[in-house]
Amino acid sequence: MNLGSLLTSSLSDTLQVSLPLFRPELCLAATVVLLLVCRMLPVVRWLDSAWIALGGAVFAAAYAWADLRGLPGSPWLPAATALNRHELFTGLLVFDPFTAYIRLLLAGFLLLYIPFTKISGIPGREEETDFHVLLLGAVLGMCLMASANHMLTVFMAVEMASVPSYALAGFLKGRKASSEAALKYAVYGAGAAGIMLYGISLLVGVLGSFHLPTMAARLSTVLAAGSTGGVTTALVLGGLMLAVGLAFKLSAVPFHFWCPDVFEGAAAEVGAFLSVASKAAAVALAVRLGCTLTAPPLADPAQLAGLADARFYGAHLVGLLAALSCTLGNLAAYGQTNIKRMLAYSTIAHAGYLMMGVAAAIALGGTDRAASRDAVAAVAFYLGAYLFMNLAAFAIVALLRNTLRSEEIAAYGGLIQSSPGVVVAMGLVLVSLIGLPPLAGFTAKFLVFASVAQAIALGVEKPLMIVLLAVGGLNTVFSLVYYLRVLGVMIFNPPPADRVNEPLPLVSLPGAFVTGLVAPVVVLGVFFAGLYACAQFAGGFAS
Amino acid sequence: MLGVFMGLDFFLFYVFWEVMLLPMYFLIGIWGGSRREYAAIKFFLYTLLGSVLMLIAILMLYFTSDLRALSEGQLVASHVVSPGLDAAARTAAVEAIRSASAPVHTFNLLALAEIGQLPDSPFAVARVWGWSLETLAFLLLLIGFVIKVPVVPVHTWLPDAHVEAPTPISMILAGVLLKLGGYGILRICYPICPGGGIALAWLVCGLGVVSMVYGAFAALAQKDFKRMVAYSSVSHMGYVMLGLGVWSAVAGTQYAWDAWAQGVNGAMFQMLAHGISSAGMFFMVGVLYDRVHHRNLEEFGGIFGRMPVYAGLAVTIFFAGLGLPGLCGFIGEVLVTLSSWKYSQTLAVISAFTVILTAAYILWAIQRVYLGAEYKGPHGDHLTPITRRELAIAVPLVILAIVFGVAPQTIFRTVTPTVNKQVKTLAEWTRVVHDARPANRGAIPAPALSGGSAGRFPADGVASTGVTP
Repeated sequence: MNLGSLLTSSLSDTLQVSLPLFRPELCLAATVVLLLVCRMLPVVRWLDSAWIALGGAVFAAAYAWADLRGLPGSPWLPAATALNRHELFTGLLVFDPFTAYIRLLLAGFLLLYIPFTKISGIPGREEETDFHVLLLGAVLGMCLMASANHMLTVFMAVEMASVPSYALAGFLKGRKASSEAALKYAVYGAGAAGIMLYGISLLVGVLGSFHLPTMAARLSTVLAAGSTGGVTTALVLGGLMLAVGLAFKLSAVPFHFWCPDVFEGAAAEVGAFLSVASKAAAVALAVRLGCTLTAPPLADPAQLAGLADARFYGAHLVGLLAALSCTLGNLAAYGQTNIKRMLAYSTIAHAGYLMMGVAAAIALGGTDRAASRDAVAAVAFYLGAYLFMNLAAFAIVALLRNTLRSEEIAAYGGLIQSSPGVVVAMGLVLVSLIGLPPLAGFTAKFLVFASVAQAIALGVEKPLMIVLLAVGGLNTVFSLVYYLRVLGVMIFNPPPADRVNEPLPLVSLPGAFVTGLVAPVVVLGVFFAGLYACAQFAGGFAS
Repeated sequence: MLGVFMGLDFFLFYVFWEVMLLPMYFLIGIWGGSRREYAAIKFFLYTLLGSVLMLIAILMLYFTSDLRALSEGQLVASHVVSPGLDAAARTAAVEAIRSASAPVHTFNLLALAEIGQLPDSPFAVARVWGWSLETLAFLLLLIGFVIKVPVVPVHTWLPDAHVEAPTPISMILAGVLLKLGGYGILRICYPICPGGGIALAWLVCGLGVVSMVYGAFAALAQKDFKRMVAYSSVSHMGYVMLGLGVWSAVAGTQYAWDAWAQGVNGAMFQMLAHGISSAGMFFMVGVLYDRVHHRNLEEFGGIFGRMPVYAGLAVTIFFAGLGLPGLCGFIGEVLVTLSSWKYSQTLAVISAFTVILTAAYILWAIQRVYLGAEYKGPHGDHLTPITRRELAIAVPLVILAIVFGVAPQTIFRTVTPTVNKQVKTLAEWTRVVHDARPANRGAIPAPALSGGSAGRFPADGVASTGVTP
């Protein structure tokens, strides 16, 4: 093959395969450029950047939706004959149902999030453009995290998602706590990124490739050959360091220390972004790395058998982090008096539940592909439900802050008398976060626990899975107290003397927005079949 | 609550079970007494712990279940395949299930029970850390249900919740909510995990007797009238547990299903009777509390003189709780005690002696509250006679207490056929399946005839109903 034909083939591959499937990301990138240009040109400076950003998000979501719908085998196109996996840009990215699902989730998040920031009034008119540029840039990085198929893309995508997040955390420039949060986040993030990069280089050095499926194939041969001590050490260390980087993004214990401080210091809006979008992307990346490296798609049985040790290691590593995050997150949330700090610990705990599903997916990958798909589907469904639950929780906190001027739990005393609607909304959200039926949080948690139980029933990593199931169950009980305490303060405590009349009336724009966010929490608890069908389709990426 | 009693799908059952909790939390937390928040969260925590364990058991049973092992008749009987279909469609549906390549899991309670009673039940074969799944699942489900009952080590939510809750909520708690536990054990634990039931019969019976005695002693020690009634609930529900747990087939050489049926019928009756007597007692306490705003047993007395009609009704209800023959409390207790003789004579003797303790705390309470020369506590001038609205609640309860005591058949007519059918099936299962397993062979000296000779235990409530299942 001469240079000419190589160029032609790569050009046609880029133009005809890669770019059309990359449209949502292109939309986001174009919007970022447009936002910056609009800021520079005096003629169009009056344009509200929120609307431009929202427009870009609408296009991205529409393309992501079209991509998900158009895939063969999706709930709308039941003919699953074609291969549902396209490697884009010579293997740097991969487009499959999972990519499509997570991308749609992130674009949908933007559609809800930009109106939310508009309603809650942070960012102000002056910094709006910066905020939206950072926001869209970070989401672009997250989309890449979901579709990464190459260790370099993994690292670049993580950085691309993280760096704007650091700036966003410090967005309340006048506040000392906000700057401290940003600095803490940035320093911690830089350390974690360094360790992750070291881990990546160890893995790549031993396995001789950046391309994830190729790495899995090499890993299988290396492990099957009964490798020498040094190679195993390098692999184990590399995997551990990679997990450290991911655990930082997931705010999993013991790499969670930044999380409560950042959430408390930064605006509630930024907390919503970090806890929903950032977490979704990190979980997606964990699923992607975990499943691709330990049970790559289209692997033959011999290759799968060779990776048994990798699955054992991956499942135990993720499972350990999951059990720790769940327990510590829930227990630490008890003592919190600031609602944002409490929600930060709650997101740590939820990261734990999500990782239980990831551990089950990794463990099941070699024995039962259908069960592994269900585990990924449970995680994907959880992310969908979590989007509405947590965004609604932070939206209520932010909107109450605007009128109550406080984010302390004690300030919510007696809200039931002045605005019962918002108490009902918050109640539904909190109960859903506990995981009680018939709300979305229960369905999600049930599905995750079900995959862990399935692993037990199939006899896969049985001791680990039994421990995870027990830890998850007990933590549900632990979490009850602190969620209900917020509700109890709102309902049982007397209102403070200087309470304004009606902090958040339901019949108003903010009220309607909150209602719109809470409605899916209820609806998804009962009519979960549609989202679950999509999630199951997304989960089929590895098989 | 209605959903829980009606659900035949395990998932739906669980959803209803949990949905019940949150309203209860608010009912206690908003309208309760001074320590209401503490009581409400304690109630919620205990029950949630139980239901989470139940969820784990549900998931494990679900993923171990396999519909392919069932015959066509069983599939149709458990409504997995709708009996409304015509024969051809039914056979096709059955074939589709039986020829599936992967295990077909189910949440259907009836189908799970059929699977649990198969000779090579997957629940008995599967092992988790050396336990057979049915024993483990039985234990997890049992913990979930006995927290609701409640039984002694996990009963501490009950006095708090009852005392802090307003009177109507106490009545609902005592009258309906506690019965969910007994219902669950009967409907879910035993049919699905019969092997676990046999292995853990000692636990169920032991817990029953312990809470019986402990509840009675605790009631004896209370100074608070409502707390005393709450502990009497613990004691009474102990009879329910004992009645459910008596599995005579293991104890003796006879597969005497009717002895067990007697216990279960007694337990069912006791649940209903306790629903009446306990709800009535809480109501009677509530009537007094509305007037004098205290519940200290030491500061009452002479109520008979001040409120004669009320005191008469109250004493009748308290006697029903005591288990006086002719009132509803008696039937259940006597049936349970009789049937437990066959399982363990020690337990039977203890449970019979508990009646004396019950009599002690109830008579003592009656003496301190209703008898005596004069009222000793505060707000004496508020002791007005019972109102018509209160009468409208109290009189039906008293009438029911008497009717069920004199004519227990009114309940047995409905209850016995179902209970006897289940018990007979399980007794037959014990003979044919359980004792034939190699692990259990030799535990019982000589497998004898199947039970069913209804005349073996004559002259009790069950036999005299004349129902032959």
